[in-house]
Amino acid sequence: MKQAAFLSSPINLSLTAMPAWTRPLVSLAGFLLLWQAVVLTGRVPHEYLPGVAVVGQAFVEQLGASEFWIGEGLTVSRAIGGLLLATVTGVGAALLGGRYRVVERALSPLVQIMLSLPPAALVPLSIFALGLGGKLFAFIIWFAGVWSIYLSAANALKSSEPVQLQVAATLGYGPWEVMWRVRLPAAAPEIFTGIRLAAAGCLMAAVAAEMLAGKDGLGFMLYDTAFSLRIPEMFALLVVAGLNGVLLNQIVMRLARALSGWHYQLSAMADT
Amino acid sequence: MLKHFNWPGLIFMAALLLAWELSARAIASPSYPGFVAVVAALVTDLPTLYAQTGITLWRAAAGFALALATMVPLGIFIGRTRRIGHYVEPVIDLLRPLPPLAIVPVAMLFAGTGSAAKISVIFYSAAFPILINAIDATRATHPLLINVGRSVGLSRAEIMLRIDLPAALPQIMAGVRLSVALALLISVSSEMLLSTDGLGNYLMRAQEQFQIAGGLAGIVVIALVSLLVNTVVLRVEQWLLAWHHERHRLARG
Repeated sequence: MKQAAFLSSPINLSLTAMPAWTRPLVSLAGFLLLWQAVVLTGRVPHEYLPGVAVVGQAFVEQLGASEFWIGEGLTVSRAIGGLLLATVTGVGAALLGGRYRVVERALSPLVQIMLSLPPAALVPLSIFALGLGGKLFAFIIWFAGVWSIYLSAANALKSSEPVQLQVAATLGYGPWEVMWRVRLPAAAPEIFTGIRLAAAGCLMAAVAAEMLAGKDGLGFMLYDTAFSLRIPEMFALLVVAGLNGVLLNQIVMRLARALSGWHYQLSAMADT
Repeated sequence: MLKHFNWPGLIFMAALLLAWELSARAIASPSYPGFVAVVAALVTDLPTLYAQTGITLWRAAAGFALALATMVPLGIFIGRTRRIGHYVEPVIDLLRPLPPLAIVPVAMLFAGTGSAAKISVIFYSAAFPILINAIDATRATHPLLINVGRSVGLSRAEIMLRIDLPAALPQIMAGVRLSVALALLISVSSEMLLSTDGLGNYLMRAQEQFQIAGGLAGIVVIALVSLLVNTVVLRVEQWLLAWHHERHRLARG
């Protein structure tokens, strides 16, 4: 009896009666209720933590403002541009490292050092070299993504199946052909996982660089609204910053499915 | 030992540094200091850098420790109490994509520019990897272990402490490694945005005073410190999980 109670107490039963898709809605409603409750207690100053409705209104207002869309577009395009640059260079270097082991060994200490540096730390000095424009953003966002993309791609390329490599060798493939037609496709899903993780870093670097050195974009707007105490707007922008993360994640996931969908079909078949 | 030494890596790094130094000498501009000048700046500024590093590390450690102390129990609880997890997890998924540095303005409103604001941002960033890994790992704990725990009469809290925690520890440590790296990164970055002191502030001051060699020295210190911290975390992990690795070694035979 005691064990049965452990598995399902009465209150749980009533909750599980609801279909699974309602869960996120219930939890979102609970989160908003909790927020509103904190506001209503009056323990937190209203001007710093506005109610849900006020933030919602500011959010809707933002959606109608062209100024907002320009800033949002700048931030997202900067993040995506930097991510693309990081992907091309990172995967390219990993291919080279996979082909020539000496390249991989030569790069390894450099990558470890660069990986340990916060991209934001490079902003002040990069301003001297690159100015305050697009080159600065491109460099900082590229830096935020490239090392981890390189590392995950290098690891993924290393774990190709020996049988597949032997088959390729039997078919008379040259080293680059093996890389292009066997190792890269096999590594693609893992590489995309690395890119997805790097995308979050690139987005953060974009926002941070805009805070530190920008005069436009979401990061700058966040700082601007906070300093001019337009707090409902600031919270609305925060919601947008979170949504951007979801957006970028979705884009990379769709791309992964389009480019290496066969892999997911294969693993789905293996699951059933 | 020497056979496994990464000679290509060392040679490449040395070549990069040499190329940097030689090009700096060729250009001879104060806005492009060479490697030697940066090392000289590092040596002259050593007392300041040492003090600022202490501040940065202290805040990173405080934020990380808070995250560790709260998120491991919370993660195990959410992972074990499935019905609560169904409702809490969407909120976690909602907050997770928010870049930690984006909440700096919020932290500033509530806590000013001092240590409290920075530590809360560090806490926020360090919390997610630990929480998510703890939830995942607890959920993946073999049901047999839990049944054994129940049949020997352990309470729910005892099961979480004595079965779930050790079973989830290897994966939690993977989250901890990420969290430590993030804590350091956010500690420096938050000092740049809420500039009062610490290594991040040192970098901002270097920029304002056109101390390019000094700024690069600060970056070198940041790299050294995080390499050191990551090594320590790896060592601690190996020590904590010695039983786990030993079991794997035995399983492989």
